[in-house]
Order: sequence, then C-alpha cells, then structure tokens
Amino acid sequence: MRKEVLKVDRITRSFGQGDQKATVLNGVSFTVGEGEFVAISGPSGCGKSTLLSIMGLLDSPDGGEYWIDGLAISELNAQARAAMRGSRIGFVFQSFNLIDEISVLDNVALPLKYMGQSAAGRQRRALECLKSVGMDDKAALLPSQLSGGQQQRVSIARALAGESGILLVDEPTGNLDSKNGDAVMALLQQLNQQGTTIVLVTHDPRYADMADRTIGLMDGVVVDARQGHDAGVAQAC
Amino acid sequence: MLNPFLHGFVRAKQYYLTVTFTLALTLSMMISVFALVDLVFFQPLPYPAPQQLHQLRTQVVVPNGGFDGGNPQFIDYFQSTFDPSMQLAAYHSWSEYKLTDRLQRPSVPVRLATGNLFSVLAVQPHLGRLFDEREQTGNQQPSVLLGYRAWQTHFDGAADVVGQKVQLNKRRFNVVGVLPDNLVLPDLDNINDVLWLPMDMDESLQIKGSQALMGGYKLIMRASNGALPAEFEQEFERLTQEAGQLYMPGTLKSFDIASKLTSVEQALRGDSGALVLMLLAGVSALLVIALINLSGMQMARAIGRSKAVAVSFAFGASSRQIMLDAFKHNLLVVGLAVLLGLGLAMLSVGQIRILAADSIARLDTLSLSLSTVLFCVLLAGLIAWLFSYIELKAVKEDQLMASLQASGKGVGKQISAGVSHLLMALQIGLSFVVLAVTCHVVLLTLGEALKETGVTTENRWSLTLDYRNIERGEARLNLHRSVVRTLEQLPAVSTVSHANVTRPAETVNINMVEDEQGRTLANAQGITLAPGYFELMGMPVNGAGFQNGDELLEAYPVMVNQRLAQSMNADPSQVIGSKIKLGDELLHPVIGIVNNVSVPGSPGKEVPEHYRATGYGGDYRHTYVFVGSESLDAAQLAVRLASRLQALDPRLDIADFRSAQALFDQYRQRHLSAAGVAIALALVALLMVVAGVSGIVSYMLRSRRYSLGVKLAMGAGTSVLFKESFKELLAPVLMALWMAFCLLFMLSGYALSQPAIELVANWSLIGTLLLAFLALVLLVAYFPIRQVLAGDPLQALRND
Repeated sequence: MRKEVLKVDRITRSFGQGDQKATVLNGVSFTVGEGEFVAISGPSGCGKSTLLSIMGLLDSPDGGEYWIDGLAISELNAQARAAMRGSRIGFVFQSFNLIDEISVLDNVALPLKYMGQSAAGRQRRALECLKSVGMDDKAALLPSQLSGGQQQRVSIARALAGESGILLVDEPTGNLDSKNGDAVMALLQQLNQQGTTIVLVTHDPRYADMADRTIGLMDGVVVDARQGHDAGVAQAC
Repeated sequence: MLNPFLHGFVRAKQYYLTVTFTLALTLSMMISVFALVDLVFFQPLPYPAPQQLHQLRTQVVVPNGGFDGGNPQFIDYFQSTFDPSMQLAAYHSWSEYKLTDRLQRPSVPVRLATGNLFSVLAVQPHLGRLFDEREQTGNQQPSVLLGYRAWQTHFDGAADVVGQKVQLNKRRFNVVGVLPDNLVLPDLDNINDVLWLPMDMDESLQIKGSQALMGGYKLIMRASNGALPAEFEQEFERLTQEAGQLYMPGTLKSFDIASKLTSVEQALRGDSGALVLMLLAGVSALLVIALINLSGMQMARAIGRSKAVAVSFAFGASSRQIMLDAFKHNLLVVGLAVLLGLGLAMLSVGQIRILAADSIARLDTLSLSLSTVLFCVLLAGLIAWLFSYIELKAVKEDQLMASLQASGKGVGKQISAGVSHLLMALQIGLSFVVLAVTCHVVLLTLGEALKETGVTTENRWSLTLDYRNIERGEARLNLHRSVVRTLEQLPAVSTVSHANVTRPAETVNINMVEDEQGRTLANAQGITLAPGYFELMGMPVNGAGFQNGDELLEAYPVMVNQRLAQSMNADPSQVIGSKIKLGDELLHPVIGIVNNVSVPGSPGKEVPEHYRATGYGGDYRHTYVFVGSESLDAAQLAVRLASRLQALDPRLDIADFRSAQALFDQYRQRHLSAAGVAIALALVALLMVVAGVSGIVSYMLRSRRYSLGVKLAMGAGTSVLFKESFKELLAPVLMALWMAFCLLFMLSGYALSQPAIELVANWSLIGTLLLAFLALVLLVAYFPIRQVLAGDPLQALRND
C-alpha cells in the first residue's frame, strides 16, 4: 500500500448566485498515494481545473474536506495554507504563469524565496531544477524570450524547486504543439519514476493513459476511475 | 531589488514617471505651503511671553484712506502718563549706510531703535550686550548692534567683533553686540541683515520736535502680566488723541487721528493669513487631484500586477511576504519622488521668499525644518504601504485562479464604474477650477507686469549719486555742476538732466496739497527737477513748460501729473492756471499737466505728483538721467563713470547706476514671477488631469477588457466600441465641468465681496477654457481606448 498523501472527500464548488448558480463540483472524492501518477480527465467544463485549483489551495471548496498528508486544509489559516503551498505543492499551469519582469532563474527560485532560503541557496537549487528540465542555459533570459515549450519546462522546474514531492499539473500541453507536448509528458513521467507524486489534468486520452490511474469527471462528479498502464493502489472513492 | 525595479521601469515608463513626478510636484507644493502655514499661523515668536507684546499703531485719517506712522514725542507722552508697568519701545526703518572703512564701501541697511527695544522684547544677545540706558534717546551714544546675518556677511562671524569700531558713513561706531539669528518685528523685512543704531544717532533724522507722523516709526509695548488688551486699548486711544493735540495740532485741524492696538503676532501675520489660506486651498485642490490621479494609476497597476501576485501566492508566499516585497519596491519609487519633492520644495521656498517678501512677514526665517523632512519620510512610508495594500488587495487569496487566468474579467476588489466616474469627475472638476483661477492670475499679473510705463526708457540711463560725505552745501553744488559737465562730455552721451528722485520714484516726501481756500485736495509727492527732464524722459506736457528763472521765485510755478489734476478738478482744462498750496501759505500757479507714469508691478508707486524746477538743491542724493547712444556698453560706461567721478571727488559715492529700463524692470519682476508660478500651477493641473484621466480610463477599460472582447466577438466593430466608451465618459466629464462652473461662480461671488481680492471673473475666458478642457479630456481619453481596442480584447476571452 502506498502512503496516502492527498485525500479529497465530497468536495463541492459552485459559482454564481440564485438562479444563476452553477455547480461545477458536486461531491467529488478520491485519494492519491505517494509517488502515484493520477490523471483527471473529462470534457471541457466538467470541473477538472477547478478541482485541481482546490487541490493546489488556489481556490476554496464550498463544501467537503480536503487533506494533505493527513492535515485537514479547512483547519488551516491563510499563513499555514501559504506555507503548505510553498512546501508541499508544486503547481504547473496550462498558461505557464511565469512572471515577465524577472528572469527565468528568478522565476524558478520564487517558491524558495518564500520558504526563506538564502539567495545563494535559491540560485543553486533553481539552476539544478532548470538543469533537470534541460533549461539551465536559458537561466538569464526573460520568459518572453522563450518558446511555449520552453516556458512550460521552466514552469515545471519552478514546481520542482520547492521539493514538495507533489506536482499538480493543469493541462500542461494545452498551449503546446504535439512535439513539445510529448516532450513535456516524457519529462513528467521521468519525474514520476524518480518518486514525484503527480496529479495531471488533461482532456487528451493519449496523455491520460500515461498515468497509473485515471479519474473521469462529468458534470462535477466522478464517473469513471480506471487503472492506467501501471496499476496503483489508490482508487476513486 | 534594483533589477526588477529597472525591468519594471523599462516596461512601464509611463506609470513610473507619472507617479514619481505627480508625487514630487504635489509634495513640493504641499511642503512649501505647509511651511508657510506653519510660519504664519503656528510658529511662536522668538520672545518670552509673546502674548504680552503689542504694536501700537497711529494713523492720520485722510480722505482716501489713512497714513500709518508714529511720532517720537508720542512715546514720551505715553510713558509719562500710561501705566508704568507697561513698557514702551520704538524702532524706525531707515536707509542704507555705507561701511566706509572697507575697500568696496558696501551698503548695509540700518534700523534705529530706542535703548529699551531689545529688553522689551526680552531677547538675549548672541554676543556682547544689547542697547540699554546708555543708548537712551538724547545720550547720542555711538553704539551699533549687528543683526546676526549682517555679522556673518560683513564681519565674517568674527567672535571678537564686540568692542571693534566700524565706520558708518562719516562716523565711527562701537560694536556693542550681536543679535540672535531669529529676530522678527512687524513692518520690517529681513531684520537679521541689518545694523541697529540708537534712535538719535542718525545724521539726518530729526526726531525731536516733529509735528507729523513718520511712516517708518513704530511703537511696541509689553503689557504687564495678566493685563488684557481690552483694558488698555481705550486708554491708549484717549492718550493718542491727547498726544495728537499736543504735538500735531496743525494736522488735527484738517484730519482725524486714530489708533489701533494689535498683538505683535497678529501684526506680523497682517493680511498674509488670508493669502496663505488661499494658497492652501489651491494646493489642497491639487493634492486631491494628485491623490485621485495616483489611486487611478495604482489601481491600473494593481490589475496589471495581479497575475504576478497570484503566482507568488500560488508558490507559497504569504500576504505578509508579498506586502513586504511590494512595499520595498514602492518605497523605492515613492522615496525617489520624496527626494525630488524635497529638492523642488527647497527651490520653491526660495521663490516664495522673493515673491511674497512684501506680503508675508518673517519670510527670511522660512525654511524646511527637520520635522518637515521627518514628516516626508513618514508620508513616503505611508504612501508606499498604501500602494502595496492596493496591489495586494487586487488579488483574492482564496480565489487565485481568477487572477491566474488573466482573463481581464475583473479580479480581486475593484472599484465600481460609479466610483471610477466620481473619481474622474472630481479630478476634472478640481483641475478645471485650478486652471481657471491660475489663468486669471496669469492675465492679471502679466497685464500688470507688461503695462506701458508712460516714459521713454530706450537708451535712457539713470545715475544716483550720494553727496553726504561732502559737508558744505556750496561744495555739493559745485560738485553737482562738475558732474553734469562730466556726463555731457562722455562720448556716446547726448542729453543730460536731473531730479531729486529716480524714475520710478520712491514714494517719500508725500505732502498735502490744498486749494486756495485751504481745502485738502490730495497727498502728493513733491519732485524737483531740472528743465528738460520731461523732454528727456518722453513725458508729454499739456500747458506751458518751465521758464528760466522759475526756480528763483518764492511762489514758484508747479506742474502736476494727471492723477493730481483729477483730484483737483474733474475738468483738467480748469487745472492749468489754478493755484495750490504745498505745505506753506504761498499760492503756486499750476502751469502744466504731465502725463502719468505707470510702474508695472507696483501700482502703489503711482501717486499724485507735483513738480518744481529748481536744479540741484543740495540734497544728499541726486539722480542724473541721460540719453546714451545705442552702441553704449553698460559695463564700460560704469567703469568710466566711476573713475571720472572718483577723479572729481573721491568722497562722491555712486548709489545706483542702471538703465531706465532696468529701474522699471525691477518692479515687474515680482509679477512676472507670480505669473510664472501661476503658469507652473496651471501646467501641473493640466498634466495631472492628463495623467489622471488617462490612468482612470485605462483602468476602467482594462478591468472591462473581457466584456469588450465579448462585444467584439459578438460582432461589434471597434468604431462602435469607441462611441460607446466615449458616451460612457461624457456623462462624468460634463457633470464635472458643470460642477466646476458652479464652484467658480460661487468663488467669483466671494471674490467680489472681498475688497482685498483683485480677481474679477472673466466669463468669456472661462467659457473658452471650458470648451478647450472638454476637448482635452476627450482627446486624453482617446488614447487609452485606442490602446486597449488595438490590444485585441478578444485575447481576454482566451485562457492565456
């Protein structure tokens, strides 16, 4: 049995009010084990990205509970949530979300800054991460000087920088061509083999199949949970 | 920290430059005006128990106003009859002396004081002693007290100056002490730059037996502890009437005499309180405009930065850490602006000292204090904190995805369209008011500064000589003749004439002019001049000119200027041939009327004048005017004149040598500077409204980029969106201009009720400004709309 690192229990999330209220997540529950590679797939608007945002503490659920390493997130204050984001979660966005004003190296070092690491330590670690994604030669450039694929690699390096052990990846290939998309997925697989827990949101079945397990979402509820090419222990609840 | 700042600056130059300069300009104005407010309203007098100090003013009430002054004999009368616990002292603003034992013979202003003036003020000397009973009037003690800055300037701050002797004009004086550096007294400017002599030690002032009020002679009193002004004000009024009957009976036959008791604090403040409050109101309006401008800019920036802030949140930054980062960055920007603002404030304080020297007392002590600098540092911290807070609050920590998706749908806490419109309307309205008022000031001041003088100044030169070192009258007269010959013989000089005053004339020797029946017609300045003076100065004469021999007649003929002629008779043709009395019982026939001379920038010098042809009367100062050729070099001429006059008599001093144009220009300067300041304020108001409207419109559009994108996606053309955006803008702009117009209407009514305010609303100017301002605002709004529409709002619809 793999150690349970993430647990989502009857999460609900709605937007709007009154008649305009739209429920995006309606009692979603599942767990993720340490070192597991889980894909969340489903059609557009099914709530995948919202679910990942809640798991990345970028959004708050209206109901239900969410645990990281057995800690109930609803009991954490803003400070503790920020610390959890920095130390336990690495987030990869579809649109990269690199800060344009600072260099690639500084972007990758950003999570380390908020963890209180020294400037030299941050630089060393950021360079290691950039090396691991093959972008160390672009460290001094600004994000706008990189291609989409390169920006996504930098974004992954940034997610790795905090050594959180958990990567939440939101449609990483959505803005990339197939060649760059394949390269990014190969990188994620490699990271998973090195022990990183990965939760991937994708609507591409080809990439979902690369995961240990796939959770299918439809209209805010889990409709399908099946093993991928390499079966893990966790199951959708 | 610097690298991101520089990157940020390159990417957002408009934001950084606008914020820095807006803050710097606003702070500099605020600091300068607050320094003035502090000086006028809050700075205590540098004397113990200042509330006990009062100024006693006496005034001869004449038909067109009053003549302020004091009579030295009044003080003796008051002291002998008044409550002995009340201490009375006097001072007199007087002329300049020359330090004649110095090689360059520098001029230094001199003031006169009774022996007890400084003990009444209860000041402590910086060095040596103050005047005491040894310097009492009548003792003729040759003592001199040095003003602090006079000591620094003319004696190099020498510690051993006390006991030294200095030569002032013809006499030697003992330096008995140095005054403290912060002395202030009503009606005296820059008194720390002067030398003080005992009241009876001036060579030409006769203080005993005077039967008139001396304009520069002032009385102050220290009331006994606990005495209330109301208790002795009536007593003082009674004593003034008695003293007037005793010492000025002649004057009291024609005029009333009045008295007024004012606290020294109030006397120092004078009318400047209203002026400073008006300045404060103007600067407060600009401050509000600037704050709106800055908040608009900052909100637009906060939206631009929301993605970066959200990313920082997403990777573990706490609110505190983000706030600290933003604070450091903003502190750098604001700190830069504060430094610039302090520098500008120092410059503007210098300008205020020049511009308001005649309007606000003790301006020589105006400076930026340490507390002002500390206040600025605090303010910088506060503004930087506020900016950071706005940035932080643009992102909701528990809904980060909204910010990260960069959709432009609107993130975090945004201001509503209504508040945006209100902010813009306030800014436009206040800017318009400031602009309208400053335009009026510019018209008024430039109109005054550039008005015609009424004399020919081209190629005219004025030389004032000081004869006081030549004791005998006959020697002075011989020397005068030699001077005229010398001037006539100078190459490039064609015509020479002379008078007892410069032109424009200093307003001294104001005498009563009476008609044949002894009725007072006016107070007029008496000027003696040589024949040919009017022709030389291009002053047209109506009637006969002076004839040879006129100067020898006892009932000599006179000419009058148009101002005096109007006081004499509404029909000027009746004036020529009439007769007037000039302080004696003789009747002088008026033989001509001379055109008025105007003094641009100093209407107070435009007084009724009467002229007498006498040549040189042996006065200690006399002014020569001559026509020089166009090729005349002023510097060369000055050197040549100095050497020729030195050769004539080394005791002869050149008191002043300038072109006639320069003599008039010195008075224009203040109005020109005031016009310059008003233009600067108008430009600041314009710049702020341009930056502010651009910032707020940009903010409004960026925060609605998503909806613009949707409209475009739904088939709206950019021209339709242009029209929509303009329509939306027009409502707050028109509302603002209407409100501004109403405010100006009220201000104009208030100005009419205040005699001291000379501004009269020019409605055609206001109307023109209104239309121009509307066009400007719409033009300014056009660019951000075009920028946002050109920036593909459809992109906002994509999750990029």
